[in-house]
Amino acid sequence: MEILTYLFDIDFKLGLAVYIMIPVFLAGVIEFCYFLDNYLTTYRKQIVNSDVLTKRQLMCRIAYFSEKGARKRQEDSYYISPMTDVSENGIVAVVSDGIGGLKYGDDVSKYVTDRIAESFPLVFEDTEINSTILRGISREIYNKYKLKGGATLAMVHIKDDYMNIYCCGDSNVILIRDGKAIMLNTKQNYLSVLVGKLASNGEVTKSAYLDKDAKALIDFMGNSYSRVNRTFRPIRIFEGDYIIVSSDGLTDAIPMEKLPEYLNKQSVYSAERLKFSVRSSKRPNQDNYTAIIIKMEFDIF
Amino acid sequence: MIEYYLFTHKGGEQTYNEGVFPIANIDLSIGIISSANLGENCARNVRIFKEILGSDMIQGNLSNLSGVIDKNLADEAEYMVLRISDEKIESIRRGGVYGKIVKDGELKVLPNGVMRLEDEDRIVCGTEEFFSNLADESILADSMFAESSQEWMEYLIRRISDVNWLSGGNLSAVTLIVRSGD
Repeated sequence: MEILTYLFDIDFKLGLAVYIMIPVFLAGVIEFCYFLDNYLTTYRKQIVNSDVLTKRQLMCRIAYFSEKGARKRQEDSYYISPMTDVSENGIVAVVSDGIGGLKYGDDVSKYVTDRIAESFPLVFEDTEINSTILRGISREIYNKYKLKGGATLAMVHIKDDYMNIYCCGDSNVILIRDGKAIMLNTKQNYLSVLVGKLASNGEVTKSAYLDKDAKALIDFMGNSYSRVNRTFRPIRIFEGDYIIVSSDGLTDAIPMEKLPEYLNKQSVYSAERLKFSVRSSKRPNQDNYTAIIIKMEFDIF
Repeated sequence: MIEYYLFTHKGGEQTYNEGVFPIANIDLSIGIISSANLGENCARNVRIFKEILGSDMIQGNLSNLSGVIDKNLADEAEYMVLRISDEKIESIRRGGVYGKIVKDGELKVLPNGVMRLEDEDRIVCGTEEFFSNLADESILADSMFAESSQEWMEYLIRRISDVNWLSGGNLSAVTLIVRSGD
């Protein structure tokens, strides 16, 4: 009986000790987390104050896909700049969509991305210089193919938390922020001309959208004197922003306002979901579809 | 120098009943009045607004001008008056007429009162109807792409047109670019 009482006493004390230790342990864990958070904040402040790092860096998480769709050949082309020296040179992502129906559509889109790759690194701060380079590439294409081939251009240049955009033709640079998709670039198609005319005459513009030539390009890479639209100053981007650089094959298959539904926390899964969605839709006239999906995230520190 | 472009459109309405009035004195002043809540009193209120802006009062204190406008216009009248130079913009407003300013790659709401300006700052002011189909991000992107205030406005109009073919209410707006570096 004494032994039982003794054992019970030990068991009770052990149980009591465990009972007391659990909240003590949890409090310790919470305190450690607070300490860690505080330490990292202080550490960040110190390096910010010492100009080692002026601000928290935004990073690009990039994924891409490029598919033929129902077409016989792939006329889209893409380029993503090397991830080395990102803090110095930023990231350049390009999609070029060869104009269907022209003999050298695929050659020209490849030519565009290859020449941009050769021109990398580009100066982030001076978009006029880059625009001149791109116009030069367009002129080279014109001299080589004499309008027997052409391509669109959609290009972003991201450095830290700013982005410059370059475009020629009707490919897409789409920003997805707070669950909303917004087309950032201007479209160089005949529809813009028609809308401008009707608006300046004080008329409604419905007829412009019914015009059979509305989607016709008024400018493209390979035109005699292309106008490459570009941002004069960079646009601020934020953590959580998604930027999609794509050919119109993507937005023809998935309406722009639906794009946010396909986005995941990780760009690679987002790209997969978009790709499989277009692929599984099995549209008989599905154009080539290419997209580069960029998610902006803060680095660890 | 301030480069600006005015846009007025009747939309899907029978007539254009609003007003955008530029007045160039030492500084540029622009008044915008919306017809949204005015109903039958619209023409009278627009006329009074125009007369006040056309008077010498436009060169005086904007707060005083605001008092005069408020006293003479119907309570439901919505308007904005801004005065802009290379260095600053001053604005007064009432109701659903407002402005947005592009500064350092971001779009911000133009505050009432005085704000300092720098070269290449870009401002768009308009009625609620004008802004109703424009996302902030698209206004910002278009401003960055545009070589001129007219081009910026054309991009914005294209976006509104993509939504409703310009078949909504009256549209009144102005785009401004500060060119103090010229």
